Amino acid sequence: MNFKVVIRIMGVLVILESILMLCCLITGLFFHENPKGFLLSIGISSILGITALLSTRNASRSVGRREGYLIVGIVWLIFSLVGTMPFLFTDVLHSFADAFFESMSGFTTTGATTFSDIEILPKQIILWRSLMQWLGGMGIIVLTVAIIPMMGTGGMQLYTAEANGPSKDKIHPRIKDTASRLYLIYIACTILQVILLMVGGNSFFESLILALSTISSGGFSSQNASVAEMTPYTQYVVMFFMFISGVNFVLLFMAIRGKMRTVVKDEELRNYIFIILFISLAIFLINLWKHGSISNLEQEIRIIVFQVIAFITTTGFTITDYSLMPNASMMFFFILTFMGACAGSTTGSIKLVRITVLLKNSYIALKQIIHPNAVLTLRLGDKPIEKKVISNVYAFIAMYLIIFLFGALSLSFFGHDFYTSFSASALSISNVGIGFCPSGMLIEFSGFPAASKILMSVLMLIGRLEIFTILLLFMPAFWKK
Amino acid sequence: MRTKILISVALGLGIASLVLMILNVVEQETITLFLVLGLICISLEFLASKKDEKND
Repeated sequence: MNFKVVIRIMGVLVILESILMLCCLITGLFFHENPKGFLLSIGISSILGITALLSTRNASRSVGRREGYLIVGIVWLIFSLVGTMPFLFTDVLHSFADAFFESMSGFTTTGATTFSDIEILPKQIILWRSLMQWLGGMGIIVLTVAIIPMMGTGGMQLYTAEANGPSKDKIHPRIKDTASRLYLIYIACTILQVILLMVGGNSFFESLILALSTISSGGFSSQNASVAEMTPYTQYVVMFFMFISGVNFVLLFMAIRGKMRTVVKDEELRNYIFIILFISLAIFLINLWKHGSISNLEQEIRIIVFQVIAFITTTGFTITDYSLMPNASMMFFFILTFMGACAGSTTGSIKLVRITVLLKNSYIALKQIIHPNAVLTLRLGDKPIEKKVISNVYAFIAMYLIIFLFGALSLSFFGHDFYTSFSASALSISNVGIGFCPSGMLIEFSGFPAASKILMSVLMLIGRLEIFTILLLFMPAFWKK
Repeated sequence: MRTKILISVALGLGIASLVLMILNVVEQETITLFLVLGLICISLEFLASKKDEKND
């Protein structure tokens, strides 16, 4: 294991984080806020980053597969640790557990918060929360892949570790170009959303906060009511970009290149759209059946579709108190928590492509019982799927559910009720950030014990890195030569 | 040797600042002092390495 190159890359990333803190410092100065907290945070992170770089000046630049997994595994932890500083130094949070929870929730794009009143926070802290999500959204590693080559360090292994979905359509053979192009799309979507929100009368700051949290499927808002009190126009814009954040970025690139046939033929995308429409319709009919009539049809449809997209993309914005909806509607939202959107998007959770493989394979297994001698192949689109991939998908989903249950069990030991334990474990591992509790939709994380917050932070990390990347680090064989 | 000492001191001060901040046991002024010392170490190492390069 080449530890020196791992330390070197960590150094670069921590310096990058301090540059983002600098943006918050400048914002704070613009709004006449106390710059001391961010100055101290930038100072510490710069010293850590620069010493890491200086001490590894003569390190070999080659990144192997194992180094790649190690970097991906620990970078989120380091980022979250460093990310706690602005919260503690500006005195908006006083306990490390709270700050670590908030920071991890940001970098993993979960969107759960320990703040009960966001509107009284300094603007620099509101921006820091959204910037954490934006950086975490595309995967810090993709950004690294675009930057590290400047240092002469390869990045293919990092990309493999970050995107371990069942299928990866390459848009360019060179990973650096791929990452750069995906990141360009990411930045373009952010800018476009800011412009569209400003056209609707939102201030630049509010538009920026919303855009950073939307495209990253994060869900941090600058308002206590999330997006519920914003105009319908703003909600439609957020809804559209939430949908975009759930689409495979490779498909977005192909759409921009005009390869619409490939985009339209993509099975996962079609399933994504179908599920949104189907579940929205189901919830609409359930609500109609419960209430007897609908007073404002447009508003009802907007609210339902928005909330369905917020759950399936694991963004976690809220437009209404969905806990007031019928139980069957809430159950649909809970199921969506485990689905996630397309692989290769910024969303968390299991991802639709894995669920498709699982369902198709179950269907084939049933068919095989009726026709024992038939040779049946599982296909995604036109492509046959290897047995090894199917096996990996099963292993992933099994591990996902085991960790979810383990998380719920552990949370119940910390004194949470049955309902809250399940919900908190689900919203953490799937990076949704919103859930259900007996008293309504809003879970007050600030009241949770420190141990629960740390456990939930670990679940967020495991979920964001798609489980295996983290579990690999605990395999003794991983560390052997 | 010089590089090792200066970088170790700077890294030690950086990590100490982070840990002390997490534990919340010292005033922010103490952390600021640590940071200034850390930055001095880094600057000294940077200047010395530039001088070495010139001599080479």
